[in-house]
Amino acid sequence: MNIINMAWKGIKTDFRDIRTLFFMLAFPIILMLVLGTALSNAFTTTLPIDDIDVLYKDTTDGAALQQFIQQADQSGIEFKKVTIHTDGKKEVKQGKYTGYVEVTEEGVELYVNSGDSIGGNILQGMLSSYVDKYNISSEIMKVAPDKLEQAFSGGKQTNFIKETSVNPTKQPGSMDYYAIVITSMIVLYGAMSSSSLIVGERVRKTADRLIASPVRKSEIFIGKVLGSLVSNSLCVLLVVLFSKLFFKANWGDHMGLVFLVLLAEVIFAVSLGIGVSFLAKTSAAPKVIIMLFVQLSSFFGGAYFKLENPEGIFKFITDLSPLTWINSALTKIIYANDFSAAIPALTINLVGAILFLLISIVSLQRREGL
Amino acid sequence: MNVLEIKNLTKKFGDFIAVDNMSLTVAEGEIFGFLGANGAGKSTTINMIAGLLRSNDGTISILGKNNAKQSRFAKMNIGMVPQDIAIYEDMTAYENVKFFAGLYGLRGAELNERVVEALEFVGLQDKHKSYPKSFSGGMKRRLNIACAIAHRPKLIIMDEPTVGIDPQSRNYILTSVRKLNEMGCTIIYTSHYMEEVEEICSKIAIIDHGKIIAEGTKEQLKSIITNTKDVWIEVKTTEKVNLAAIQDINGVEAVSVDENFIKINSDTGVNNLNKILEHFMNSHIEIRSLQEKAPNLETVFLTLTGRNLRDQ
Amino acid sequence: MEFWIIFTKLTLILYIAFQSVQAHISHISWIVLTILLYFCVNITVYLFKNSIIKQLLLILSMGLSIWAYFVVNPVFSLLFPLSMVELAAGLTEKKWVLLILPLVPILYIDEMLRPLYGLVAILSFMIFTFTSTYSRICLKNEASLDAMRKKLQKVTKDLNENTEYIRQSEYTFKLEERNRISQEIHDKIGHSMTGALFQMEAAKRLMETNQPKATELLQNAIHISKDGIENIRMTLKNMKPPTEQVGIHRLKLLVENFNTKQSIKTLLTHEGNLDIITSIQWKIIHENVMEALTNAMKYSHASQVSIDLKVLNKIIRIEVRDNGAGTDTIKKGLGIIGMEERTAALNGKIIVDSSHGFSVTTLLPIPS
Repeated sequence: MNIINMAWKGIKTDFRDIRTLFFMLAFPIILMLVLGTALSNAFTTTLPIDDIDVLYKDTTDGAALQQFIQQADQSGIEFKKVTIHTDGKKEVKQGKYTGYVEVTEEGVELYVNSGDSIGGNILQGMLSSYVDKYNISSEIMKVAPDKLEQAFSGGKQTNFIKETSVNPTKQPGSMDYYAIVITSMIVLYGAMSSSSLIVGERVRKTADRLIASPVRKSEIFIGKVLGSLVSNSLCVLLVVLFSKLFFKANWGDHMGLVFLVLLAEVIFAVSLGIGVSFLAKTSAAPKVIIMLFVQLSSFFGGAYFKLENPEGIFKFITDLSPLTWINSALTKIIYANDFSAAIPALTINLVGAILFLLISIVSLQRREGL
Repeated sequence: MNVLEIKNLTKKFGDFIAVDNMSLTVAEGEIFGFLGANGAGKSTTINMIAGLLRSNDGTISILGKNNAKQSRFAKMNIGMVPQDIAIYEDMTAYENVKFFAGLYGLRGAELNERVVEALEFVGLQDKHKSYPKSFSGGMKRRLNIACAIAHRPKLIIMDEPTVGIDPQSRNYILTSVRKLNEMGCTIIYTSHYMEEVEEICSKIAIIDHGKIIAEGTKEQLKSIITNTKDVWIEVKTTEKVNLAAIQDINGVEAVSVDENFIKINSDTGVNNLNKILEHFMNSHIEIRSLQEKAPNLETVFLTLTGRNLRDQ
Repeated sequence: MEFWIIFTKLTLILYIAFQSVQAHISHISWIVLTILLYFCVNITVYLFKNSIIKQLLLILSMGLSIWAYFVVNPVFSLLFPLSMVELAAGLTEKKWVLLILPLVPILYIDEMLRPLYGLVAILSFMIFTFTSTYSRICLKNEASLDAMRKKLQKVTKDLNENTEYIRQSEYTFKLEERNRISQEIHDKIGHSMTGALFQMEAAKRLMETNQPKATELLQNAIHISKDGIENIRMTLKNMKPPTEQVGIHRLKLLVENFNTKQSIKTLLTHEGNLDIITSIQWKIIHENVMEALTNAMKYSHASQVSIDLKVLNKIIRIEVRDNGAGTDTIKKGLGIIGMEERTAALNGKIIVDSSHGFSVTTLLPIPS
């Protein structure tokens, strides 16, 4: 009964505190909105490319190249005939033009600036397909000129490049991604409020009152932890539901499991806060330590931007962040229906939680008062 | 029955001995004052009684039951008013009292009744829905008391309950202490304000360096130093004064004349001021001023320890 | 301790026995022999007090387990670690050596047996360390208990002797006093009384015949009697010397001595009626002041010490205060504890304060 009393008091005051509410509810929602919209480019598969300017020199008399130029023009590639005074290769070298094409009787030579690799690649691809087509047509001309028309009856090929993604699985959009990572980050921030659960009582001197009352230390401790768990969980629940309803974030079809993983993280965060507050000597230190830990975890866990396939030492560092595990577990559950991904995340969080709780309990037993 | 019995209590913080082999009994119905300078060991003693600190040696019994063995019983019967204001700023006055009273197992209608009672007692019933943020120092102190009395403890421990508040709130608190005492509570009151202790306490222990150096009623304490007081009467002229007649008044030990002052040394146990004044009136001697120089607790403390109460 | 080590060894043997029986080993007789040998060697270890023999036996026990590992059954290697730990413990204090040494063979033994061997080695180390640590603590406690018991005995004896001594000296003192009084009475009062008596007898005879002479003799007798009475008064006065003078004079003497011998200036002030201080109180005052002065001389680096003796209404207060640096925390040394004990015998209190210089205040109640 005392435990429930303690917990209920904690929940009540948590939800009454404007700062907590802002931090736990408004802050993540705003952050989702800002990051989700501002960084949406990082998640689209299209890539805008400016017009490509190309110099060319045609020493043949064929009309074939002109035809290609006309068509390429429609795709935003502008061909310009080189004048006598200009040196095409030099112009490309200086980056004024994306490429320089020299067409002679021997063949086509293309010079591109390696600095503009995308433009160069496109140019190269288009040109090679043009050359292939030209070669074919010239072969046909040699063998059966009358069939030429027929061979190209497919119309004038305008799409010289057609890209097909080799990885067609569903990928999160920016809002989906940030809904996940910000939620998991804000859960970790729960450690901030839980770090003052016991220390706060000491600072406010109410610890003396609690100890003077017939309530056992263990009841106080359990009640406090329970209250913090419940209020943090409620905040997370609200954030998740809000992002789902208003931002249309994709939380997948297995909300139960998602919440389970998040709950494990809540437990970890609350225990972390309490544990650190017992380890630190002063009352201000825990906040600083937790702030640093959460910031680093958030950074390496990809809360601010996605870290693509880290390797080596960098991978090791990202693996140290609990958020990495939670985020990957959540992503796998939501996008790949991979339930087994939840297991490492749950394990890591719960083991960490038990560790910090043990530290707290041991030091609570040792000290006089709270 | 003795509400509190302390035997050979010792508390060390490292090398520092905060409480040194202290023994003490507080009988039911007393307002027992702990008088001592800052750091004399008052708060440490109180914190051990309330179960906030563990003692290194010695025993504490509340209502005859050992504190260490039956801590729940002890805690149920103690109301602790800590030195620092210990309330939650983010809960209303009512919620504060209710929360703390709830820790003592009170529930439902009874809880509500007791909370209202406690708030009324300290005069905060009108403010029960306000947050302590808006309270003055004195109101916070009163709320601090309300939080400790709602469960109707037999023994109320008040650790410097009047630090840093206005005289009005202070008087209010002193009156409440007396009222609580009349309602049957035994009270332990610590202060380094000698006047307060002298005013309300029925028994006083002077504590210094973790030891009780003197204990008793205020009269007993004062009589440690001397049994006499000095009455200085300033007169217009000393011609008509009959020293022998004054000397004959019951209780007068010595009389002397110093310029316009008649200095009378008299037994504190005898109320003879009326008779002395009567003598002056009957002899038609004009009195200009009168000073009574009786020893107070401050003098007792100063004489015994060689230091002032408020020395650091 | 030995019991638990033997018990552990028995457990290991039992395990090996079970293991062997379950594995249906053919040469069971060899196993039994090995176990018996091991048993004998290890029991013998505890029979000898000599540490060299003990070590030799332990080496034998280790050799036996190595031999049994190769020849009889690999499982016998499990007996090795505990003997190793025991042997090593006799040679070094370092805990990590005790852990590492028995673990070394793990590199060489049968791969199948390694985890089990590791477990046994670590457990052996732990059991040995625990039991030896706790038995050492036990021994230490017992020793201190013993010492305390002896001390208590001595103190009780001293107490008894002292009581006897006090009784004896009281008797001697009474005897001496009686002698002195009878001597005085005999020497002075006796003589004058006899003289007066003679004079009065003579006066009685001369009363009729020579009245003026008789009056003269009577006058003489009166004089002699007066002297006698004065003598009695003097004698009684000599019997009871003024304690006040003795007390305060002794204290003054102490201060003077201190002043001449030490560089610290010492001041003695007193107020109130010194008459009511009893001699036992004077004794404690004197001892406490001496102790406090010694402390001041040793630790205070002060230039001045003041001793203030006040007789109040219900309390005697003696403060010895120096103008030195004082200390932050007062560590109660034997000196202060001694003062406390002495003072407590008269229901008094000691206050030690170091906020303004260092001061020791003795408060003694005046019994009503």
